[in-house]
Amino acid sequence: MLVQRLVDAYIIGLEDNADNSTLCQTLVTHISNGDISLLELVQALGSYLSSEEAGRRSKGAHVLADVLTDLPADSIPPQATEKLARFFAARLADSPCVPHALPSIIALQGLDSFTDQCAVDVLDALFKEVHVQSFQHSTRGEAYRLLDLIIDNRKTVVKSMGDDFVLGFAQMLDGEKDPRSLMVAFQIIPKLAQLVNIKNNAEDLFDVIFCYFPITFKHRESDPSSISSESLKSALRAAITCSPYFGDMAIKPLIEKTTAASMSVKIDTYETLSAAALVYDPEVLKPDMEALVEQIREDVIMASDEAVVSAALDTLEAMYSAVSPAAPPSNGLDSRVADFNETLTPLDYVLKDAIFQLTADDIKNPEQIGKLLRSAARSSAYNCNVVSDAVLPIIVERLHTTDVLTVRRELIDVLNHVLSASCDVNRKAECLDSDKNNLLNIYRLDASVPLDKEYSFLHITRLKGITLLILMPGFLDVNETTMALQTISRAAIERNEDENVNKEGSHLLVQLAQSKPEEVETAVLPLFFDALCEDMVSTHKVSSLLNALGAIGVATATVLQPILSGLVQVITSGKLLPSHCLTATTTIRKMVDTATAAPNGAEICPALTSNIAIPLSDWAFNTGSSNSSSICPAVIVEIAKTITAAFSKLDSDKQEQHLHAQFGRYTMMALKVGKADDAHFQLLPLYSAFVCACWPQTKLPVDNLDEYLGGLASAAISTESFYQRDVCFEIIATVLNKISSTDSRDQLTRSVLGNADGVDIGIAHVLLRHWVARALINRNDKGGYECVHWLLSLITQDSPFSSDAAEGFSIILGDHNWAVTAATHGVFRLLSKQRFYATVVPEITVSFKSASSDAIKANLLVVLTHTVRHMPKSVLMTGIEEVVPLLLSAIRLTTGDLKAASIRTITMVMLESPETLQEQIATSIIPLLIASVAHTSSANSIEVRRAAHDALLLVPEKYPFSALNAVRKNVLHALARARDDHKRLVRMEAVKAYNKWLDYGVS
Amino acid sequence: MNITQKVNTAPLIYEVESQTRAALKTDFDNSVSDPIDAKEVYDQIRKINDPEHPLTLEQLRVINCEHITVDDAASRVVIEFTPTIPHCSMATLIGLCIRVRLLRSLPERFKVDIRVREGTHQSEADVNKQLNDKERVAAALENTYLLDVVNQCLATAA
Repeated sequence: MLVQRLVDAYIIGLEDNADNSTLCQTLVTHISNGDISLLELVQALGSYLSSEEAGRRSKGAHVLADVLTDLPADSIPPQATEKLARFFAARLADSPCVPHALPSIIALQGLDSFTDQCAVDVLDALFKEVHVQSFQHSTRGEAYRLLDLIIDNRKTVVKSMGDDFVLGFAQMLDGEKDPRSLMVAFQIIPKLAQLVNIKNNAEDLFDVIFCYFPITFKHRESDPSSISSESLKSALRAAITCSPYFGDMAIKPLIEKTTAASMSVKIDTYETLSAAALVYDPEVLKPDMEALVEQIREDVIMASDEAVVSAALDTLEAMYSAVSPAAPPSNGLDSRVADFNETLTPLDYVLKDAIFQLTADDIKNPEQIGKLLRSAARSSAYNCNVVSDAVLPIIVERLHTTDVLTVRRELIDVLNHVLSASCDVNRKAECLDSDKNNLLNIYRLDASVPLDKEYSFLHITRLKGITLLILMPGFLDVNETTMALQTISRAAIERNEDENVNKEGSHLLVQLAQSKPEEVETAVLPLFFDALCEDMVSTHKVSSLLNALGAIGVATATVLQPILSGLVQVITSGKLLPSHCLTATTTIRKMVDTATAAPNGAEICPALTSNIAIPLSDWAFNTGSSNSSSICPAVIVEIAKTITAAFSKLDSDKQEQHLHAQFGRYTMMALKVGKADDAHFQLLPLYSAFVCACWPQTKLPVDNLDEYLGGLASAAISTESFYQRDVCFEIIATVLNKISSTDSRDQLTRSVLGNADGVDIGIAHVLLRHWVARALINRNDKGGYECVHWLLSLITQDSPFSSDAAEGFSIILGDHNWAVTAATHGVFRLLSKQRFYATVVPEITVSFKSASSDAIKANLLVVLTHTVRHMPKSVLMTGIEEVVPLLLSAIRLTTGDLKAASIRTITMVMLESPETLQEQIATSIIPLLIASVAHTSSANSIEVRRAAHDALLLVPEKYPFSALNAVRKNVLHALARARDDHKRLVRMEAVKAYNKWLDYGVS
Repeated sequence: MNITQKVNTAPLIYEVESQTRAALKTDFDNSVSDPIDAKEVYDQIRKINDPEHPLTLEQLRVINCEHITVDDAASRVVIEFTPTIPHCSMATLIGLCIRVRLLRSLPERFKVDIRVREGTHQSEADVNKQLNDKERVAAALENTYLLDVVNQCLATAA
């Protein structure tokens, strides 16, 4: 019989510890297909299951468990479920069978036919017959898992069992040591406490849980379980704090644990107490509050660990929140105070010491006192009232009588903490109204206080206090808020001896803008704009004012537009000194960049275009047209970048609407042949920015694109103005890149290049190829490679423009502000850079080897350097061995930035794949680097020397001393000389590298 | 030398302000020389660790930028340091650490004088004499144990 044969084979496999998964799968498949019934399987197992020999019974149960676990639910007949459940419940009394009975029950309990009575039978047997702790971890884990599943799926059963379940579970858990089992058990307890009233067995349950506190666990790398120390702590914390019935037993031992020497235990205890405060009966907390507050005070004042202080303060807040009355009594504060005088209230534990310190000649730990008061006060509106009422009069009185500035600062600092509690509970303390005048006097900026560095702390503390008064709900009226905001603004704007005052002022305004945007807009921004327009305003001040405005605008979206509009107004009205226009336009550009990069940035782009980009563009055009010398090209570039950021995110219809005006304004200028000294052409980048920022589907307002591009190409070839030439090329490249039809693109490319080829070759012809290559290579168009081949052949022919052709390779792959970029919707195909690298580098290598003159070689190395510097690391490292010899030649033959770029590439290879350079490191690379750190050579620019030092710094980390022992002396000698480099930045790098080599090989 | 017994068990720790040198436009102009100044020398030694605490000399205010005098043209550096307590037996070791760090950082043309700040140490003259005696310094650095201690203090300086 098939089933008997399979079962016997299975049992033999179990005896031999063989892998039985195939047999199990075969049985499962047969039962699922109906070839064998479950009953037949049980019958086949009969002799094993009923054997008197424990081992045979266990194996029989093992086979049945394996099959049931893998069997689909619909393959178990409903009538069999109950019988199997009873059978396995009975097996729980048979210790050898327990490890296999539990997984079987887990498999069965998920079935609809598994009745509540089955669950009761199983649980009865589990609690009465199974001594869980005598089994291995896996069996214990299954037992907890079964309970967890039954709690989740059979709530009525658990409720009906009530105390029996709780007691059974507590006994089961007693003595558990495995963290995996504990994790499941801890997670069961809160669920159990929700379902069952644990009152009768709270002590038993608590005893078996709390003995694990504080729990420590170190997760090992090899441990496949996902349990971490933190997750285990959280689970235990949730278990301890799941029921108010644990309160009586938990509070005292928890408070004792706060005195532990270990920081992690302290933090764990405080966090558990905070959680407990939310659940335990407040009456349970009160008797031990004094001891707890005393311990918290000690921990906060000792300030040994920031995390402990934070946890302690959170606990203080949670505790006071729990014991605080829900709302102030209706008969007013005075009667409450009278009540407090009769008996000591929990708040007095904090207040007593604070009041003692605040009235002492020398206030000790004012910062910590402030923190304690704040935590106590912010726990509830009621406590906020009581604390404010107790502390405020003392501070006010003391501030009236003392002139010592340090003491005043300390008092105001404490006051700030108390006031901030009012802001935190979002309800001002009642006593504040009666002390309003006093508070306003305290925070009034006193002109008699000298604001040199010594007193700036006092000044800053006051500014923080004023901020709190503004933020406090319903405390200041509109006029007072305006005055307070202006006070902070003046601190941010006016020149202070200590710049920290300005910084703090700006920082506070950023905070205030988030909660009081309208007030900041009306009271603060005009002061900033006026300050920017002052006659003799310094560059430094303009810069700090703009930084502050930038920070406010970026932090709060609602004031961004008013700030940007205000700045545009300041610039376009001509009130801002021309020398500051660049800083202002840069700030605007940065703000627009940040705003448009935000998740909902596209939504504000229409407004930014209409209110910021277009007005700035108009202003630049009008100013540049009438008086060309008044706008510097850098300002134009900043405005063009602003246009790009805002305009590129408009939809194509809106772009088309704006383009008409811009084309009308600039197209004629772009197409006419310009003179070198015609400053009007400096405005053309604005035109380029508008055109380049368009979507591919945006229709340009030109009748004939072929003619338009041809005209631009002709103008670029003939013009003497670099601005016009560059703009023409940018537009040509952008348009070609965005044409989707291959045929149209080919035709236009040929037309553009044909226009250029009509006359003798000049620098513009070469640059046109670079730009066309940029447009086409990035979208994997073969036309781009034709341009590259044309350029490479120009270089190998040693033409007068070889050098320009080589240098221009930076255009093909390099960054640009707006032309053919991802941000301006340029089309970039996958693997375009890889293809370029794979095509061009072998060609350079071949040409280099066959080159007849050093000039050609040098130009080829320039091309190589430009190619590798813009390549992603992953692309570059493929076939790098071929390129390394050329890079070393490039270090030898090039100068300045190119040489530095080659050294940086070698450094990158050293970092990523040091074995590639193993052979050359001592013989070629180190001598080249030594030569490159010498500041006496004109080929070694600052960048070259710094790059060489960086490379030398890396060498000892990547190569064994034995390989470089011979060159160490030379390197140290060169680096010792480099420590006397005339540039400080280089010297700093040299010192680092020198010390690294000094330790190299010294054990 | 026994440094397991701390001479000053609870030194005052000062907050360290950001000491980053502001970038200048001329930083990348190769034609402009940046002479070595007190701030640069201070940057080289501020992160030296104290021999008995895991704190830097800057955090303990043992060294102070204002107490460093540099004459680049004359290749002279004078450094005055302030021991945390007047009877600090670590003063010589601290001075030695500063000297070794500068030997490894400054151009070889510089002559470096290291002194205890006047009135801050009870054996001021002896310490100064020891620190500025080339032969004694050389002999101290031949002591491998001492060199190890110095290197440990300098490990954080780079």
